[in-house]
Amino acid sequence: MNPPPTVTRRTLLAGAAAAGLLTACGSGDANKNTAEANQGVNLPKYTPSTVVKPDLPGTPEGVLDAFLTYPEPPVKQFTAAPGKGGTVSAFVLTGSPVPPPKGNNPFWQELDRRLGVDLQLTITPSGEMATKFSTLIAGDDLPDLIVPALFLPNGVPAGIGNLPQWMATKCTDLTKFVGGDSVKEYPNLAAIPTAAWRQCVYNGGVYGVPVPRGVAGTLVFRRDDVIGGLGVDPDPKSFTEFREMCRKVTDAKANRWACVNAGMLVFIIQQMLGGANDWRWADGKLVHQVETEEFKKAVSDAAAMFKEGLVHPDSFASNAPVKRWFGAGEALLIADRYTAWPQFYNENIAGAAFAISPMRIPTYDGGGLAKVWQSNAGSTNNFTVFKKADDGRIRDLLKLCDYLAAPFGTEEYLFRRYGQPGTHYTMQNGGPVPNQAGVAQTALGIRYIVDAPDVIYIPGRPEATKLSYDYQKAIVPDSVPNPVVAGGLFSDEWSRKQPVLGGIVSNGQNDIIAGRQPLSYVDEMRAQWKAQGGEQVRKDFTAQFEKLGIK
Amino acid sequence: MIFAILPGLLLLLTFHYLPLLGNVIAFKDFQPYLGLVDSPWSGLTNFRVLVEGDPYFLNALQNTVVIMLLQILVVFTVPIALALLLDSLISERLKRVVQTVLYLPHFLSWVIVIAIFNELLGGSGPLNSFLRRHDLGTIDIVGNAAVFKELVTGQVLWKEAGWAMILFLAALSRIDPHLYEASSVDGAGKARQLWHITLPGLRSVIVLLLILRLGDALTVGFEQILLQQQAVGLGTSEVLDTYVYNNGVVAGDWGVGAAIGLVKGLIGVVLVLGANKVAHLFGEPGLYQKDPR
Repeated sequence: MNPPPTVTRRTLLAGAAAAGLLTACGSGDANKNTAEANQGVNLPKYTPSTVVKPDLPGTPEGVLDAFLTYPEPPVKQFTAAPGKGGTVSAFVLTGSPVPPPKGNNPFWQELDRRLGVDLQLTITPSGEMATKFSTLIAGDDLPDLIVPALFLPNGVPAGIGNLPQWMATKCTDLTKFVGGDSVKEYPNLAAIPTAAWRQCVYNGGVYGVPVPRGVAGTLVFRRDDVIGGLGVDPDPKSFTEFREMCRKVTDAKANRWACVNAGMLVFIIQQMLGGANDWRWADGKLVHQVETEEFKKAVSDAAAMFKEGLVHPDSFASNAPVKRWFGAGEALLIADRYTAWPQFYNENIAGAAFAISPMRIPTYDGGGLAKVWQSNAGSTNNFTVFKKADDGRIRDLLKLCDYLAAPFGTEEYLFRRYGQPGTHYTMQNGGPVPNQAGVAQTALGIRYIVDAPDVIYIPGRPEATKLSYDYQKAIVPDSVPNPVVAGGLFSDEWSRKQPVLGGIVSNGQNDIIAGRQPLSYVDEMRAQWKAQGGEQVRKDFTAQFEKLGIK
Repeated sequence: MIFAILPGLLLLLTFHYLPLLGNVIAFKDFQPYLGLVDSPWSGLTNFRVLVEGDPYFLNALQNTVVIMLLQILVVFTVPIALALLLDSLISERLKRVVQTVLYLPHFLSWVIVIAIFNELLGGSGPLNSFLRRHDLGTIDIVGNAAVFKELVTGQVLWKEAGWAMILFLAALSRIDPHLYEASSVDGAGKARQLWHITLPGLRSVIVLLLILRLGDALTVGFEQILLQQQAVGLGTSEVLDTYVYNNGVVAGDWGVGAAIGLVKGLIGVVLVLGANKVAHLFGEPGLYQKDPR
């Protein structure tokens, strides 16, 4: 189930290169991003952090460490500022509203002081990331640290064709600084798991520092307080019972619907049916989700439920405020990542009564629980590349990154995430609960430069932390990975065409659910998907599966 | 004098003329990571989508033309009517208040206008909540593909009609009041005055604005439509501008996007030149004319 040890998805670029894809789009430069080159990369030696012991330990399969309270007192890791003065510039993203500029931002000023540098950040909202990044590349006036855009505003991965070539000419190969034992100079970077570092390998070298994440991906959050108050059984045992539950909790006259959107229905019904997590590799055949019968069935059921009025009626609007609806009890089920947990507590209007928990998805026909899909992004959220510079400068920047990767339990982590006590948060129930200034000022996006291994921790809510941990522990062992991500495969066609192919699926799916197209339109979507590049991607990946001998 | 022009000229050069060079992308297989210079030339391949009649492109073209006609028909004429109505008000104060109320929405950004429409008319908005509570059946306006074009036109009308009206009001105030007095002496009623004095007095302004409007007639509200596209699907909502964005910027097919943009610009030029010519035929000065000598 887990990826074979020595091969990464970039190492297999050779397959793509052999197909002439990369050479066709390159400008004649020798292509260094080959399987041979990437296979032998000297990855940083993993030395787990021993700073604190988790209250609930994670597992090697991918359950994260969990903490019920923030360790008291926090461990102070750094005695001196990691920076030596001067300016460090970085291009980062943020998923939160853009924070106040440095002049009005005490957190940022304090961060500068603690880092010992003047940190100049270009903070880009994640929605504009892809366009801003293209502009940055075209302008060629690069900051020291750059987070390449990997996703488009609609969540579809951005085309990264030619990204390796760009990195080869403009960015630093970090292998000699962090490869093997040399990473020991930066203990917090050494504590980042190897799987995350693998996602930074290009052109035969380590080209970035990763932001690691857990494999448990999207889950269904349930408003237990409301559903319980209605006296409805929150644990359906089959699809029929699930639909019945949705019917019982929906009351349009009271502005209350079961689901925030129909997309989440397609997502969970496919899991009930045992559908493909993006791709399915079985019996020597690679099949994409859109081609499966499970997909068609799920779309059909979701369309019926939408028509019946079990979904929030405004959910197709762009940027529909789904989290607000969930917080306000306008919709009682929402699909989101485990990282959304604290936000739900911070932003609901139900007050003390607010209670949520992850829903376990039953199998379609009943009899047991469905296997849950792993995160499609793999074990990394993103990575950060370093502009070409002399060795001394790179070492200084890595030192800074080491500070920014201080693990949970340290004083440095507490400050980096939550700011300063009193000003940005108050300690409640053993955890830093941010106030408004804290939420606004700390959203600098520095957590996307580099980060310590993720943990499960919901400040001030030990019971919620426990729920999240128990859920991960229950679902991770037999969770379903995306075979392409798990196998570490790479196709240049896939990385270029994902926006187009993803668009065909999501637009078509919406058209059917909203009743603008009949269910048979799925066949047309499949034909388009194949013609627009899907068939080529299948060829690329199939060759790699066969070459690797993955069954 | 020259120094007074300079900032504006620089602005024009930097943001209007310099970017024109970027149109070279239309003839290249542009890859952002390779840059403008290193991206390979691709001849006219990017224009194939136009010639071969890609169904998605044709769909976008059709939607654009329908919305364009709706907008010229409704959004161009309503401000004239509004101006006439407002001009007929006697109380100066009431006139000012009405004028202000009408043109204020112009200063709201599209994001806000659409949020207002969605909040008020959406499935969970006050209108439909009210209907639902009284068992009257809901009205599906926002997110209903069948009425999308009308909704879009309605939004433009609400946002821009009051603003567009101001120019016509100015033109109205320049009509010589003696003409009205003379015509009443001759026994002309309100309708005849409108037809024989007011509208001829507005004619040159109407023609001028119409020609200018035709220049970007194919631009039918990129931001406005993009923001609502997801709710109604691409079938009814894809227009040329969003097609360029979705296929060029989002999907990374920059060359095709630039090619379509280029052709769209050329059509705009042809429309302006053509309309100007027609205006001359009707004896109007139009946008510009040859030196009469």
